[in-house]
Amino acid sequence: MARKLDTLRSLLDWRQPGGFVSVAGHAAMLIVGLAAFSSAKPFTPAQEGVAVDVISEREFNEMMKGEKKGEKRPEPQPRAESVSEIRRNNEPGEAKRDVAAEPVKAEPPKAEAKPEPQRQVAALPPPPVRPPELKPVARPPEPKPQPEEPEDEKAELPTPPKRPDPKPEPKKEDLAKLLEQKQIEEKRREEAKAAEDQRTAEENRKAEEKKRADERAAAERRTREDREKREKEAAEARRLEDAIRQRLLTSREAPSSTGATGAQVSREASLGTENATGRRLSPSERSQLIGLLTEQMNRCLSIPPGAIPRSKPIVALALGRDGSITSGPTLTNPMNEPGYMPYAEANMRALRNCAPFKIPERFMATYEDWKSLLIGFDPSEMQ
Amino acid sequence: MPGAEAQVDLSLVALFMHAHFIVKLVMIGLAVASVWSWAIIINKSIAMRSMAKSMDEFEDRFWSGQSLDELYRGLVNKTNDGFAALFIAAMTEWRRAFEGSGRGFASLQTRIDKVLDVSIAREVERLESKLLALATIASVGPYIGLFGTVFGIMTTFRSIAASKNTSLAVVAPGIAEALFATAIALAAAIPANIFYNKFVRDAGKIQGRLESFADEFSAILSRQIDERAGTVQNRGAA
Repeated sequence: MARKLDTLRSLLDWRQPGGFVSVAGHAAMLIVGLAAFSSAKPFTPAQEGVAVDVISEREFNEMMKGEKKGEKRPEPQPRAESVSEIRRNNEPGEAKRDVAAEPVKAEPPKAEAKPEPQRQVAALPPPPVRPPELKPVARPPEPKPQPEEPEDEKAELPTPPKRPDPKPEPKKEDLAKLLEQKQIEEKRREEAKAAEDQRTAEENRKAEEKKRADERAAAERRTREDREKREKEAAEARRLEDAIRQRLLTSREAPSSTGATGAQVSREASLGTENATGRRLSPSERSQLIGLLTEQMNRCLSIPPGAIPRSKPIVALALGRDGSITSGPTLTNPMNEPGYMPYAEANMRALRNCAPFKIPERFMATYEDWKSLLIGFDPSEMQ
Repeated sequence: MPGAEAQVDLSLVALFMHAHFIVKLVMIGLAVASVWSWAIIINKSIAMRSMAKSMDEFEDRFWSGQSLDELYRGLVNKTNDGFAALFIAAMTEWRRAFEGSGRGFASLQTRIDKVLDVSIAREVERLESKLLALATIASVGPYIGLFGTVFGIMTTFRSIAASKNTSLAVVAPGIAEALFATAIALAAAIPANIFYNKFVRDAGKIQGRLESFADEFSAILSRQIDERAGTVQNRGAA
């Protein structure tokens, strides 16, 4: 307890300011730490490396084979191999003839032409058909005949005036006669009128019936015509098919193409492709080239006497396009055989001395294939 | 992703508040240890410096030809340390031998040597007090911090296993919290270790000086004793 008090007192002792100074220092450090570590700085995402393939010059050339300066046109144009007014997009090919079978097109127009007037005929009847459909609206005239009956009543109505007749009869017979005559005339007139009305009504009815019959007949005719037309077309199609089949079967020419035609022949070289293979030396070309080189080399060759080994030294060398040696020659198979090294070295010396070899122009296209060569010097040829 | 980053607060307070209870205790303990060790360091360095200074001053006065009694009278009522404490202790013993009957010369030399040894031991003990605490903080602090870190990583992995998400954004905050404990421990332990070594060496040096002074002073006193004894014998003979 006393010790604790002692340590507490030591905190207040001016000669031992360690406690205060330490607490204050740590508080300051804490504040600085809070400021410094207030927020973590996020990493900037690392840039991803770009994968690179190392390719040889030959591989690159194979990739780029074709016209290197060929301009790529913005819009692809159909390829034309010969000039013609008509543009035909045939498959470009080497053969110069078209496929014989041309579609038989002459007959179908005729076949189509015939049914057309029929179709017109068939199309015409409908207009007369239409009005009967409208007739039900026009029917109100029919009720007209019905008013005939009231007219009959009217015809009877004139009879009541007969009743006043008795009155004039006693007065004057002339007047009655006149009246009777008048009545008779009126009656006759009314009867005539009624007869006329009846007749018109009957006529209307008859016309209607006639129209209905016409309609029915027209419909029947139409269906018949349609059926006939269909049958006819089917028959024609069958005939056409047979004709085409016949032509195709009888044609003995191999399918071929005259190539695409257009207003201008396209003069563009095809651009480089990715999967083309570069030209290589054929085995005979290779032996020719090596023969040329050894022939030129032999002019500078002087083999020390007796240095004819049995083994065949093989020398690697790299050539430039101008025939100069760009690296080597190096011996690929050194041996301990007596006379072997002098022989190989003599050959290599000869290669070096004759250095710019003359290489014919025709080998230039395959330079990538022969720019590094292995040449064997057969000692048996020397003997 | 920026949203997730915005959510994670990585300030020191946040790191402390997110930590597990035990890790929090470890951090607090280590922070207290750091404060304590620095308090000891500051006090000790002040004490060491003042002691060295007073020892130099005393040495100057002691060898200035002043009489020992005058020197004693000037110092006796003050709190003394270092050489002065030795001097006072030896002189007190010396004067006590002459105050009484004047006898007791026979073993005065041994008594003075003993008193000097005791006061050296007391001075050294005073110098080295609390250095043990520094040594403990220096040696054990990193282990405590490591314990906090291991515990924090353990709880982090447990929560990862529970959430079944192993992306670094989930793992990182927990690890940062855990490592914070080790950081505090190292911050406390490194200065404690450095200053412990320094103070031990300084205390050794001061002890050496005290011992050599005690030998010298005891030699002076022994000469005085022999002279006094001679005079007393002469007086007795006369």
